[in-house]
Amino acid sequence: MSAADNPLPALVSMRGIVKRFGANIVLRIVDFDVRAGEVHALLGENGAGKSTLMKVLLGIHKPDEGTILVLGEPLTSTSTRARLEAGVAMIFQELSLVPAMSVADNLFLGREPMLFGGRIDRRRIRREATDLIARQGFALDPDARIEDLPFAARQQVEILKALSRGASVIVMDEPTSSLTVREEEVLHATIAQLRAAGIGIVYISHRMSEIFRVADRLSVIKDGQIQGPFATDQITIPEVSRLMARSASVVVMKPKARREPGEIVFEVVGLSTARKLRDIGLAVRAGEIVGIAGLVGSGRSTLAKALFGLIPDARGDVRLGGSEIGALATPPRIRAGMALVPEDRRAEGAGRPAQPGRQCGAAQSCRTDVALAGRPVMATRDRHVPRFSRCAAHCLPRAGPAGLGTVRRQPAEGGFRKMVRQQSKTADPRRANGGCRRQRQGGDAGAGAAGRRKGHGGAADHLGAR
Amino acid sequence: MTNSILTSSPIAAVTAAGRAFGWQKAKRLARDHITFIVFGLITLFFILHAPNFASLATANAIGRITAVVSIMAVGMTMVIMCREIDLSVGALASLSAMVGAMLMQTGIAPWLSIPVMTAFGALIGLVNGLIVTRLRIPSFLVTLGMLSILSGTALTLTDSLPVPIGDRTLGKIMANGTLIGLPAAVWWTVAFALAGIYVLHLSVIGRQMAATGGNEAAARFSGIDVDRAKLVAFAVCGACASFAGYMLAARASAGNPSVGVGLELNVIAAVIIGGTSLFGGRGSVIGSVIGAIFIGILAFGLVVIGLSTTIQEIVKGVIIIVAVSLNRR
Repeated sequence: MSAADNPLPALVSMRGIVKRFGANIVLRIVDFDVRAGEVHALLGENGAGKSTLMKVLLGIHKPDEGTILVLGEPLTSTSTRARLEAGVAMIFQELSLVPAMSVADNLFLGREPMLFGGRIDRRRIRREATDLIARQGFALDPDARIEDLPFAARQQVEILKALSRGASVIVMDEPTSSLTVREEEVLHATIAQLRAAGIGIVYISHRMSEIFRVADRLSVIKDGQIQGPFATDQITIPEVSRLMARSASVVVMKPKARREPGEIVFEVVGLSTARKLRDIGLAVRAGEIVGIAGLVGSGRSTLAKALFGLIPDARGDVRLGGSEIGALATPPRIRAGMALVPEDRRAEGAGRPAQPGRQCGAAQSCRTDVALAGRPVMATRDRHVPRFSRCAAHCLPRAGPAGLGTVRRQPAEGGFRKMVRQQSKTADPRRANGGCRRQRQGGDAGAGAAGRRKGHGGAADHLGAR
Repeated sequence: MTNSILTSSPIAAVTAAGRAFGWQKAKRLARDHITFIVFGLITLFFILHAPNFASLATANAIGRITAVVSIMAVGMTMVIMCREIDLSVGALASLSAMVGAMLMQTGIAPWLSIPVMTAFGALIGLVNGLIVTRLRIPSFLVTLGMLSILSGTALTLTDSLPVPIGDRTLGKIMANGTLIGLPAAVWWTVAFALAGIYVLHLSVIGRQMAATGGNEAAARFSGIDVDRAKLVAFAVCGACASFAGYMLAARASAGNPSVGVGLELNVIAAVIIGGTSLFGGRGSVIGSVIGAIFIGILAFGLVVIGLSTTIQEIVKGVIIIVAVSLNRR
């Protein structure tokens, strides 16, 4: 029944792919293939090479070595357009739809059927769009504007768009990261249908349980090398986790010798917002790094912003440097010596996309006692990570003795995770009591770092958070 | 088995969440047109309080006054749809008034000079577009520079002196003549509006402009030549501006090098209060023309109720800001 038992011909097969960026080898001889009617999951930590491999597949990057075969024929042209014509399409995390246009108009964008005099044949667009939607059995209104649709429906439009352009292989990059649990069900039903129609799907996700539910085979990329494919019914979650884990030598951070954290410099009690956060308590001591972990959408970003006074409807008691400050208002926090290095520096940070090395400096440039760092690694382009690590290795230990408490917010993955762990070992074990209490929301919320230590295990299906 | 999955609860639930769209649509319709409701109320105020406001003569006068801004707004709508801007249209109108008047002095047939001047404007617009798309300089800066270049050229041509147009036919064709009781300027406005509606809302190139402004990455990814869409928009905008400038010269029987000064602000205001988003992707030609006519009604009405022109400017500015804030996206 499953695709693994009955090997179908590979729709696309990548053989011996090598990709270097300068001296940095990102992919070392990677083989990867997708068969008709299967879901092939691709796993790996951030920076392991997943996205590079997919960019090679889509023709965005040119491989240094290796070949890509489509239905057994080597693909010579490197352009993205050639890939689209060969039937390889990607569903992006940031969707490539025009929000002000209708579903039907988006489906035929760039290849509108024309009437005499260059007029668009609107009736035909509508008719064909309706057919297309009906054929896939999606519950979409062809006249609805994209901006009015929930995210899952937009994803369906993207999938339809790919199919209507003759896609036989669809790459889905973290397709569930922005979906509610219910919308996830819709997506999985859609995937089941695509499989039945003989479409090959590459499924990139961090969520183990999801992958085991959806995928037929899985491959793991670690440090540019691929392992697999494994049939999902012949491998277990712990085994996959082991395959993904990096050796400790990758992490360059060496925290200084055990350090006694000082006074509590920042304390939050009962921080709540209308939607995301409920009764969060958090205390940061001088010279201490507190990690906050959680899934996308679990409220990490909201928490970081709320801590910095950027969420208008936040309630709770905030104590900074011994004095009481309301849950609101950023300026008194800055005056009292708090800083935020935002997650999306391009959108929220100062001016131009900064060099990663300067990111640390920003928080230190003024008198800072508490620094919030939003996903320092995630926000940094993959190839900048080593550089950022060096910089952080330089900044953070220095910051510690200077009495800088740091709240670091990032998903529990990537190189920094280990650093955070090691650092937190140096923290006062009593801190766990006053640590982050995070209420779980739905099935989706992650537990706080401290909560995990207390054995909540809320992020069990999250790969990095083992 | 797969079919039963598809028809079961999750999809139904998502659609149920989408059921509210009918209500949303109605709300959007009201929101989109709230400025027009305000226009209607203000016009009603003038009709009730200004003597003789509701007359064909007034309508003709307003039509004549607003023709220039309306025609320029048609082209500007396309540029703004592409999420670009053209600040040089006023200066281009001045230059076209000068060049057109000088062209008429060569003894060219008046009917022939009109397409020549329109093509001249398209060429200047094309230059704007080429600089924007090839050199990747923001259109705000490119056209700001072009504003200076064009108005400087217009003044330099004759050392700031106006150029008289001896021929009476041109004035008749372009502005002052009447056909079935309507002034020529109004007919030209209708012609440009219809052509604009065709290009922007019915043709493929218009769809491409909307996609370019709506989500440039998506447009590129869908195989749309984004640069070409922008080039066409700039060229059309230039053609409209040049035609409008020539119309000003024909109306006054003279090319005046400063006739278009500041016109770009009225044009952009007309487009924005007409409901076109300054962030591209949504808008309509007809809205822009209504916006232009409204600015005309406002100016005319304020004169009729006896406000001085200086106060008029203040009132106009306030109403533009209010209209745009109601129309905000």
